[in-house]
Amino acid sequence: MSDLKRHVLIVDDDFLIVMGLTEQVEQMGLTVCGSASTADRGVELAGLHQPMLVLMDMRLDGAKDGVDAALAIYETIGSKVIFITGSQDPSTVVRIREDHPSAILFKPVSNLQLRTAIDAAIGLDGG
Amino acid sequence: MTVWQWLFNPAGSGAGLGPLSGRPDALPLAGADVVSGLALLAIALALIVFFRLRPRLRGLGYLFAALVVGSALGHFAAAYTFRSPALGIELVIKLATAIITAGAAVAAWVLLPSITSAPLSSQLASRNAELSATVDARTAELLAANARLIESMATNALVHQAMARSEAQYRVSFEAATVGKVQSDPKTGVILRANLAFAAMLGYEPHEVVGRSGWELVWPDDRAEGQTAFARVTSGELVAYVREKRFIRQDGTPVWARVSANIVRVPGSDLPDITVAVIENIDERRKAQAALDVTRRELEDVVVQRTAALVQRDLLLREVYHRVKNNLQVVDSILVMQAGRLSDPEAKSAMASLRGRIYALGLVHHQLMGSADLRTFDVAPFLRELSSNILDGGASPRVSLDVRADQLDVGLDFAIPLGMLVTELVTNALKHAFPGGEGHIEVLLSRNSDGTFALVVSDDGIGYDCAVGQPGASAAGLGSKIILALVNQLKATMDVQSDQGTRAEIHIKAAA
Repeated sequence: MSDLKRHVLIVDDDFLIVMGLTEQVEQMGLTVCGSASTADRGVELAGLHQPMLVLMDMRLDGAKDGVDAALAIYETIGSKVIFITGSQDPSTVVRIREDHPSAILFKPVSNLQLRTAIDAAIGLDGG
Repeated sequence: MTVWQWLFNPAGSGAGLGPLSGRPDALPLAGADVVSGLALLAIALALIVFFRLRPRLRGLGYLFAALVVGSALGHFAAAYTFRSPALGIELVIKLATAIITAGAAVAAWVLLPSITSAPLSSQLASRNAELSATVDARTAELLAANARLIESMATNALVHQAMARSEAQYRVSFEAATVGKVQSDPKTGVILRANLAFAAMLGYEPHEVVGRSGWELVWPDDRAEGQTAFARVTSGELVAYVREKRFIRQDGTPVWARVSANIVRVPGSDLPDITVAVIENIDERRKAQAALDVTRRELEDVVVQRTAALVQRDLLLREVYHRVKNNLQVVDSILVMQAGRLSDPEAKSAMASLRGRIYALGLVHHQLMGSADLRTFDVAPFLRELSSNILDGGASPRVSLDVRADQLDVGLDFAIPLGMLVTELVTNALKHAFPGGEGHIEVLLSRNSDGTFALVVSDDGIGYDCAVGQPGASAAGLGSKIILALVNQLKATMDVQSDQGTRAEIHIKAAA
């Protein structure tokens, strides 16, 4: 974990949501190192930037979903993952639990929920 | 001298024998000889007649008769010699008589033992008595036997009568039964006896099925199984044969029947003697059952289709809710970005209020998505989560919150205005009631006994200066407008009291 940078990677196929999340994360004093709309690109960027935290959407462009990406990232890099999903289907939640999520947030996510989850995952130093 | 002379000429041989011819007593002597001779002839005749009837002694009798005849001839000859001495003839007669007499004597002595052995009349009488006694005894025995026979016949007649009655009763119960009854040969299956009900079930007369194999009348598909089962009954493995199977009617159509059969064994052995079967017509029940099965299958199909439709509907609903939430997240993202570019605190606050409202909308969909029927959810946890999120978002750690709600399942149409109403009221309280940053907010939703609901949002803050709906601060103004609109939408009435803190009491007629 100490090798990872205090950066946040955002994986979501909706650009406006990526922008909104980015703004909120930056308001918390963190750096967003990049964003991806597919699982494969997310894994690639995670490998490139070594982020401490990934905000992961469940539904992504392409064949793979957020759990596929999160599992790959968890195994190769070890970043913490917070899932942000619009669905709370039991099947979706069960699939998310296959990974080792730091938190599962359901859209729309309030600023408070996001802050609390990020703080629990990597610790916010009052920023 | 000739033979004749020798016989009858006195001068020939007995010249001196004629001295009596001249004597006076010669005549009576000759007469006595003649009478004796005649009497002897009569006796001889009587002997002949007597012995002709006694075959056993006939020879001896005739011998005696010849002897007597000889004696008679001797007397005649003696009488003749008185007139003229005819010694020759007399000699011949006497010699013949002597021979015959000697023979008779011999025969008499020879035959004596056999003659004396013949029963005497006294002996006969005693034997007769014995015989009579025997006959009497036998007669008595016969009478007794006869009596026994008569008695036995009477008993037999009773037994026969009882058997006949039993047979008659059985026949009536067999023939007149409304269920089919059949007796058959366990080895061949040939029907020995069948009643009207059985024959009629198949469209036959009883005599038309008697003599046929019962298996022949069974529907081909049901035959092998039935025979296998029956073999187990014949072997004694099973006590009775009970099966539901089809028979073939005369017109070739199947008819369902329930067969219960038992095998009567030869007395004192295990050998099957006769099969006794009761055949019940269950065609109607079977048909009803089949119709029921068809109906049930159709219903099941409908259920499957409906279930599939419901699953499809659920999928669609989830998808819709998902998209609604995603879109709300997009709107929220825009608001976040917009707020980040504003410097005016009032404008920032307005943006924050907007985000709160959007969060309320999203939370309703979130609750719906997590509910079992995707249509209704319990309002209590929803209000709790909604209120606490507003409170925490307000960054006033010293304001406490208490949410109490009766269990109430609500739908989208009721939950959205209710949720937004709570959002506005709690946000208002948080914004205006506690200038010192400390206080208590209470949210209460209760169900009244008349089916109406009361939503109460109260605080222990400083209270309002201006009633809700009055023109005031711009943000509060919008909030008040929204509150009034939501109250109207819920077809509710609202009372606001502002004595010690503020208390908004909203009466809702019914949960939509």
